Amino acid sequence: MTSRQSILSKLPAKATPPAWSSQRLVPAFVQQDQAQLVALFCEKVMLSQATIETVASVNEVPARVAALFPNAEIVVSDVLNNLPWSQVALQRVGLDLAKDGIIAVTDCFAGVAETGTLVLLSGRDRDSRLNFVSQTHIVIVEASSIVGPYEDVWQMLRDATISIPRAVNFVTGPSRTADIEQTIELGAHGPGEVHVIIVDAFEHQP
Amino acid sequence: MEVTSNQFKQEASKALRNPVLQKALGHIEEGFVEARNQAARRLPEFEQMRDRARDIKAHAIDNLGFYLSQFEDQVIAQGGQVHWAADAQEAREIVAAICLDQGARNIAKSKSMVTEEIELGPYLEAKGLASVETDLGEYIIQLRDEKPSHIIAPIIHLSKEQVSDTFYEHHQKHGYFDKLTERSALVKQARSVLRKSFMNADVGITGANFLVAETGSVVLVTNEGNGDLVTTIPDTHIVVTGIEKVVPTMDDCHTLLRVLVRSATGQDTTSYVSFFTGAKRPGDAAGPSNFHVVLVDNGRSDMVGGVNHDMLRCIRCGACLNHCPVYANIGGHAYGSVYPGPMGAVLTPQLAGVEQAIDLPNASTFCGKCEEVCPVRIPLPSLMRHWREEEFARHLTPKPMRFGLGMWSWLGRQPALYRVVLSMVQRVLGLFAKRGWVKHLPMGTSWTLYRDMKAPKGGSFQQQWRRR
Amino acid sequence: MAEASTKGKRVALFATCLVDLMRPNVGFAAARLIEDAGYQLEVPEGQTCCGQPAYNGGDRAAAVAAALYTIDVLSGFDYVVLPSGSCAAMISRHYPTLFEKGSANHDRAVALAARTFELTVFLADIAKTELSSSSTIGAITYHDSCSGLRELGIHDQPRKLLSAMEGVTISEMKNPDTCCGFGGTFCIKYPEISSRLAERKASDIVQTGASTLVAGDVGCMLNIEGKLHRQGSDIKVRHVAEILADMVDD
Repeated sequence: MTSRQSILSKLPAKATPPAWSSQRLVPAFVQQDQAQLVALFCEKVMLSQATIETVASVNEVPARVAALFPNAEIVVSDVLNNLPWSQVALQRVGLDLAKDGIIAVTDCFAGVAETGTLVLLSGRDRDSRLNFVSQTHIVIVEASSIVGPYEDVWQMLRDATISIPRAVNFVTGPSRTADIEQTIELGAHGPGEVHVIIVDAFEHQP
Repeated sequence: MEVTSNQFKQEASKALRNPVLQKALGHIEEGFVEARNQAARRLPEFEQMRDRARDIKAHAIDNLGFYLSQFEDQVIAQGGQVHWAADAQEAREIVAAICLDQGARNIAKSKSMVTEEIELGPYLEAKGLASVETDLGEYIIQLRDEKPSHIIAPIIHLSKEQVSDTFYEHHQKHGYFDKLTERSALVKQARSVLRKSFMNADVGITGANFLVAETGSVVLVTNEGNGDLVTTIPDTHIVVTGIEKVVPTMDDCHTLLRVLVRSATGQDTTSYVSFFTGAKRPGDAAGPSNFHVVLVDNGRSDMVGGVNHDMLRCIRCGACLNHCPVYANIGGHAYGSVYPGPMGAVLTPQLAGVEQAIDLPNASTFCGKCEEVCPVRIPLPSLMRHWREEEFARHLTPKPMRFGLGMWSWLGRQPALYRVVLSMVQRVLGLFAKRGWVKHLPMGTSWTLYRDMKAPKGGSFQQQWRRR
Repeated sequence: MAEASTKGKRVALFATCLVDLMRPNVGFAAARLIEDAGYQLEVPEGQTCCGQPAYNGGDRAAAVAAALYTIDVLSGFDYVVLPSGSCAAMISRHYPTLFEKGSANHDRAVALAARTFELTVFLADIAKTELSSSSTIGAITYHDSCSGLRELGIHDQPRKLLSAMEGVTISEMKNPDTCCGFGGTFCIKYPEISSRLAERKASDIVQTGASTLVAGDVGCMLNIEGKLHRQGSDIKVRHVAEILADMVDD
C-alpha cells in the first residue's frame, strides 16, 4: 500500500462532494459604493505605510515616476511597455537580481479596500520577481478595479474568465519584520517602500 | 519527533532565572497581546468570524480525505506534483530526492513549522544539501544552531544585543566587520547577506498556511517577503505541509486568513499573502518550472475521530502561546519541542508520545486564556486534561501526586473522617504559625519556599457552623 | 429587601473545602448574604470537596465518584450556592461531562448544574440583591479568578455589588484577568512558575495603591496573600463575600 492509500484509508472516506456552503462572511465596513471604496482603499494604503497618489490617465504615470525619482534607473514590467517612458528623464534597465535598490514599476489586477491590498498576478509579461526583489515598488491601480473584500478578487478573475495564474500575490504595504524584539522594521527582504498610483482609466491586459 | 520535554522543570527553572530571556519575553505583551486585542476590536465581526473559522476547519477535517484528493487533482491539473508522506522520515526522503533530482546546490527555505517538526534541515545537510533559512528569525536561529522558541516569532527569546553578536560572529566572512547596535541596521545587513541566497537558489522550500481544495492553491502568509523570493526565483518550489491544512474554497480561506493574522500578530493582514497554484505556465515571465507539494501525515491521521480531533483545527497562529501566563514567563525552549505553549502541550504528546512529554499537559494553570483567544476555538484545557487522564491511566503521573490525589478523593467520601482530618490540618498549621502566619512547613515547601500562609483558626467552617 | 418570591426557597451553601479549611469566615459571610437576601439557608451535612483536584489531575474515576457523592449531598434544594467560581464551574460545567448522555446520573448532574451558582452571580443575577450595606474598607482592587471569569462569565457581578456599597471604591489593576498562578495542584507541581505568576500579580496589585485585594476564590486569595505577605506588603486580601457582608475578621 502506498502512503497515499494508507493515509487516505485512515480518513473518513467520502467520494461525493460533502454538503458545504462557503458562506461569505465579509466585514460590513467594506460594503460600500465604488467611490467610497476608492476612498477607503486610499486610507488603508496609507495605514499600511505605503504612499499613494492619483492621476487621471495611465499615460501620466511615467512623468509621475520621473518626478519621484528623477533620472533614476527603473525596471518596468513588460506589460507597461506601451506607456510613454521615452518622454521622461528615466533610464529603463533590465532586472539584475544581484542588485539591491531596484525601483520597479508594475501594474496590478485589483486593489482591495478592506486592507489597502494590491493584488498582483504572474503571467507572460508580468515578472513576479519584480514585486519582491525591488527596494521601491511602484504599483499602478485602476480605480475601477478596487473592490471591497478579498473574496471579490476571485470573482473578478472568474468574471474575466482568467484561469488562475501560478502566483496571485496579495501585497499590503512594504516588507517588514518584527522578529527582533517585536519591533517593526520595514524592508526585511522585499520592498522597503511601496508607492501606489491610482489611475482613473487604464486598459487591462489580461 | 525528537523532544526534550521531560526536562521541562529544570529548563523552566533556568528560564525563570535568565534575565536576558526575561527581558526579551517582556515584549510579548505589547507586541502580541495588546496588538491582538486592538485588531480584534477594530473588526466588529471578529467573534462571528472565529465561529465561522472553527466551522470551516471542523468541516474540512471531517471530510479530509475528500478535500485532499480534490486538492491533489487540482495541483496535478496545474502542472504540479503531490507527494504523500506517512511520517517524518518519508517526508525528508521525498524532499531530499527532489533536491538531488534537480541537482540542487543552493536551497533557500522560508519558515515552516512542519519542516522543523520533521527536522528537515539537519537531514538535508547530512545528505550534502545545505539549506539556508531566510526568515530573519529562522536565519538567526540557524546561525546560532538553536531551535525556535515560538511558532511565529522564532527568536522571541533573544535580545537585539544577542542578534548583534551573532551577526558580528558570522557576517565577517561576508565583509561586515562592524558591531551593529540598531535594529534597522541588523535587518539591513541580513537583507544584504541573504540576497545572495535568494539569487543563487535553485530550490525553494516553503510551508503552507492553507491549501485550497477547489483551486489546488498553496497559501503562504509572510511579512518579510522571503517566502515569495524563494518561490519566484528558483526553478523548483517544494511545499512541505501537514495534511490538516486543506480548506474547501477561496472564500473559506479568506475567513481563516482574517482570524489568523489578527490572532497571530495583531495586524489586519500581513504584507504578503500569496496563492501559488501549480508550476510556471508556458510563456510566464518567471516562476518555478517544478512545483511539488509534500503532504505530511506524521501522526495527524491518527488524531481524526480521537480525543485530540479538535486539535487538527489549529492554524498555528501562536495566540495561545502569547496569552499563556506560563509561556510568557518561561518562553518556548523549556517545553523541549518545536510546538511549545498550550498548543504544544496538546500536540507534542500526540506526535512524540505522552511518555516523552509528561509535564507539558500539566504545566498549565487551566486559566483558560488560550481557549479564550484561540481563533478556531480549540478547547485546549480540555485536551490537556485528556492527556492528564491518559498519564494517570498509564501510571505516568508522579507517584506522590497520584497518592495525594487518591487519598484526598477517598477522604472526600468519608465525611466524618474528612472533618477530623480538616481539624487536624488546621491544628498543625496553627503549630507552625508565628503571629498567625506560617512561613515554613516541612511537608509543604512547595508553598512556603515562595509564599507565606495565613493560619486558619477556630476549627473548620462546618465545625464552627454546627457550634453556632 | 428580598423579593417575595424568594420566601421559602431553600438554598444550600456548598462552602468548598478551601473555605472549610482555610477561611471559615468566608462561609459565614456567604451564609449571611444568602439569608439577608431572604432565602432559607442550609449548610448540607456531609459536604466535602467537589472533586476538582481529581478531575484536573487526570483521575476521572475519582472525579466521577466525587461528583456522585456531591450530587447526593446537594439534592433537594432550590439552589446551590458556592463562594468560589472554580468549584461552581466544576459542578455546573464539568459534572455533566462526567456521565454518559441519557444516563440517570447525567440527568441528575444536569439538574444540579442548572441550579448551582457562584455567590456573586446568585446575588446579582438570581436574587437581584440590592445591598444597602457599607464598609470602611476604602479603595480595593479586584482579581478575576480564571474559572469564574472564563467558565462562568463572572466579571460584572462582583464589581456591581461592590461598587454599590458605600465606602468602597474599585481601583482596577493592570491585568485583573491574568492568572495569579494558583491553578489548584499547579502551585505544588510547578512552584517556581507559580511563584513568578504570583509575583507579577502582586506587582499589579501594589501599583493600584489599593489597600485591599478582593477576589472570589480562596485558592487565588491564599496564593496572592501569601506572596504579598512574603514581600512584606500590608495589603489585605479578602473574599468578596467578606466585603459584601462587611464581615472582615482579624
